[in-house]
Amino acid sequence: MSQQKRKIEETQDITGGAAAPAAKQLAMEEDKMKALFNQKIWNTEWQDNLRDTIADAQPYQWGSITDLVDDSLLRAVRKEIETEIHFTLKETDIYKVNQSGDLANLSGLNWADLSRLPNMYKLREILYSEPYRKVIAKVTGSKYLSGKKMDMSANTYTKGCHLLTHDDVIGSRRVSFILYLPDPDHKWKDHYGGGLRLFPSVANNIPYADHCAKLVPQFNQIAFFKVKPGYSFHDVEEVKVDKHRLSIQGWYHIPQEGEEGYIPGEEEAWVNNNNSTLAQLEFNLLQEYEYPKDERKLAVKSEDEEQSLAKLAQELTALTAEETSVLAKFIHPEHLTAEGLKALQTRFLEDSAVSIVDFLNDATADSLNKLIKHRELNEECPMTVKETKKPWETAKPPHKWRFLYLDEAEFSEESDSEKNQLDKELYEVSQFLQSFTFKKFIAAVTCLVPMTQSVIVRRFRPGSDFTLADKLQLNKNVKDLMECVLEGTLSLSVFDDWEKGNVGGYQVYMLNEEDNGDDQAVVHDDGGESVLINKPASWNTLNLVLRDENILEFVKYVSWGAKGSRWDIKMLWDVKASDDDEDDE
Amino acid sequence: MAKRPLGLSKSNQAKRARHEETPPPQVTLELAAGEDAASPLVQLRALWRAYWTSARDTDVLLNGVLNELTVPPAQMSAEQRAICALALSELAVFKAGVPAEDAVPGEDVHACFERALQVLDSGESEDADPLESLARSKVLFQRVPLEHVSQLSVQSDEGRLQLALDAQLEGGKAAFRVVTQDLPLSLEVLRSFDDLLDIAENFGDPRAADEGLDSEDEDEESDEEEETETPQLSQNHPLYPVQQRLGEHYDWLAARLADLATAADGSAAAEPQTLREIARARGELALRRAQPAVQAFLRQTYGEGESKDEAQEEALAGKTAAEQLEAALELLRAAQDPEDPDTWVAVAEALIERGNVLRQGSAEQDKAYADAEALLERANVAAHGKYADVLENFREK
Repeated sequence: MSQQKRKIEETQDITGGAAAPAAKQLAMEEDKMKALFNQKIWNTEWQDNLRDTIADAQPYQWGSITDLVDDSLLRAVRKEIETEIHFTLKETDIYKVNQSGDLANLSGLNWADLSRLPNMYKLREILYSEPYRKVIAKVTGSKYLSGKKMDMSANTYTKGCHLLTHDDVIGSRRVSFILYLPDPDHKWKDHYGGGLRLFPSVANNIPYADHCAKLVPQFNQIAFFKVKPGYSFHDVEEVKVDKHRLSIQGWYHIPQEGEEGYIPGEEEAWVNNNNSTLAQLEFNLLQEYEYPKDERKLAVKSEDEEQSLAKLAQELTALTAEETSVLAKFIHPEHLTAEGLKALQTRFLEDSAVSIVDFLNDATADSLNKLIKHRELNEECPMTVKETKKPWETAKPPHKWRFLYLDEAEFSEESDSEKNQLDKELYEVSQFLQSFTFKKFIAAVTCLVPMTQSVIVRRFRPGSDFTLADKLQLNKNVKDLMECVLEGTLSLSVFDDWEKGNVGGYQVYMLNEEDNGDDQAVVHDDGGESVLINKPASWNTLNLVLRDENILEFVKYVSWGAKGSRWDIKMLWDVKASDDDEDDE
Repeated sequence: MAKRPLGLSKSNQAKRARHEETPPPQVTLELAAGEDAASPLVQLRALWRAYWTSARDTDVLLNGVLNELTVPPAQMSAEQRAICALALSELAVFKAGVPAEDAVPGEDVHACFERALQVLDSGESEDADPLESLARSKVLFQRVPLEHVSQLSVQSDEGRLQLALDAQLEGGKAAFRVVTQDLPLSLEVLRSFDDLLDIAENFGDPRAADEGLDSEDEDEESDEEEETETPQLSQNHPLYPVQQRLGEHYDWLAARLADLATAADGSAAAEPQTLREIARARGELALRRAQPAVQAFLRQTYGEGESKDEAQEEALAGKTAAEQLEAALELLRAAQDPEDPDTWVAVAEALIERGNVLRQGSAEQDKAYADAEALLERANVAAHGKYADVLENFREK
């Protein structure tokens, strides 16, 4: 299955035990606890109104409450977080967030630690108090929410931080909430970014490409929604300015044993239903709603063709003068000499990867450079599905990827006068990359026989586009293929701010470390050992990688702060080995 | 028979199994055509250039530069001494980021700057090499804020500290040279002086310490904090002499930027980007220096009541401000980069400011605003919507 479930936050139980007597001593009297909330929430009519609003909310049941808790309490919490908690920037394929390292979760802490955060502790107590839980349960139609299984963390989103589309369906979560604590003395404005954006669904577990609702967070405002498997998709818009969007996020879980509303087996059934029974359904639905399709066309039509490619792996001189001439119409001549090809081949065999700088020849590269720059600087960039005109389409669904791609079928249907010069030239390059002659070049460099192919021209827009880490999909339809896929990415990104690394848009190949139970696609904050390749967007560079099953790949979300889009052409080939020697493996 | 590639993860495993050490990061150094790759000076120059044109977020290349310089400073060439001093001055930036408890005596910010000056002093002669002089200027301009001002508070006392900051600035100014062979470095030294003056001018102002204020917030904050004044430094403060002579220092800066522009215009080797950056620095300075005239005009215009004399004064103030802003605009237009929308926005902002000091409702004012709006629209498209908010604010007002 190509979609990864992302484990975004960990959960710990409070089981009582040694902590229970201390907890009883600290339990606030109900009146005192209620007094720390905005008194409106205890009004039945207000609750009924909110419940009705949430029931009718789009795209799914969500709501928010402004001025939720006592202002001075929350200011004190903010102060505590600022002074006592150390945040560490963590970046994966799906997010870039400053996480609270040593206090990621308040459960199970000892008193020595909690004494540093008395107001934070108080806040957690009131948020998980029975009266408040009952209000939330009522307005969200959730029946019962656990007060025992507390699950809260603090994060701060600074400039560039973001969290891509996901549904929060993990474990026994029933209601998600986010309590916002930006600067209490200044309004958080829309253009700052950092909004909570909600996505409608096309079908169960298939979110639409664009959001349809957005909350601009204010101090002491809480947003919450019922976790609805397959539907409660949302993201956190990138923070665009140099400000801190501090928040406390958490979940209410299904009631635990001993609690009111506990039903034996309910949690297990919920978890199993979401994580396994739907898995197959997800896969089938994803196939139906996923664009562009993973359609690998057969590239080798006869045994003779296959043999001719295999021969190139053995003898670089098997490339004829005529073939070299055809290749030279697009590829820089330095890569077509015997020495040039040999150098590339040697590097590829050593590392199973090679980066070919100045791949396209000067004429092709210069022309594309001018045209792409012209489009970037003079044409409004379409940012929604509706704004995107043919022959460009939006890749979807957004919990897997989002980018624009050139739909070659639509392009072919256009009349010549309709065709934009840039689209024409990109299409020509794409056609060249799909040609049999180019496959000979690939065979010569990689010593592999490309049997199928898929080529897509892509544009990753700033503040919008990305692909999430996915597992390799082997082709079961062709015999004797290697258990690898050869991937090529021709990077055609024209502006030069990519190297700094803080605008995203880089391509990562990394080891799939599922077993450690942590976020698989961690780019930073993991010592970097699982990341095998990290290539910033660049101009006119072809990266070839032989990707085996244990490798995840993704293109990091392109920051709103990037000067322009990341452009590339992505290629996939299912391959056979060029030799029959099994001992080589 | 050719080998079969293993696949990325298997290749990686195979390398680990062979206990292959990760090779040290490789640096590719670019040499100019005709340069001798075997020459130690050429290599040193290339190493320094690699650092200077990089993101400058790691000291690896700096340490590489310093490791290349194995002879005593007195035996180095002028260029070697200059590069050594520049590298030490840059290294101080990284040392400044080390927490005090982790700082190693002899390897801290002070030590870097001291060694840089000692290296330059070892080659002191009456006709100091221009690059050496420029390096001295850079060291002094960088040292003042990094080593000294960063440790000051509003209550600091020169009598106790004996920093002689204004004298250090004068030393940097006296040493400054335009080096035609290295215009970007010459510009950067002047920019660091500009930054230093800005720090001195706003020292102690809490608004200057706030990060991330966008233009809207700045407007709101200036309304809210009208009553808040920038703290006045006492006459005993180390920065007091600098503040008192700001006008003189800015005059010097404007003159040196003009010299730099002349040298660049006359140099066939000057890159278009360098010419634009010089124009930008000049334009931004001119814009700032026009502010007193702008403020004088606004005070006249929005003051209560207006006599005939006051009307004449207002017109004069407006004329002066408009002229100064026009001069700034000319420079900012020259600084426009066809591929950088930020530079178009700089022109738009200056146009708006100029429009604000022209006669209300005049054709000239309308044109200034219209030109600004057109530039903002174009920049907004090129920057994929980044200026949507600025454009909206402008249109509302």
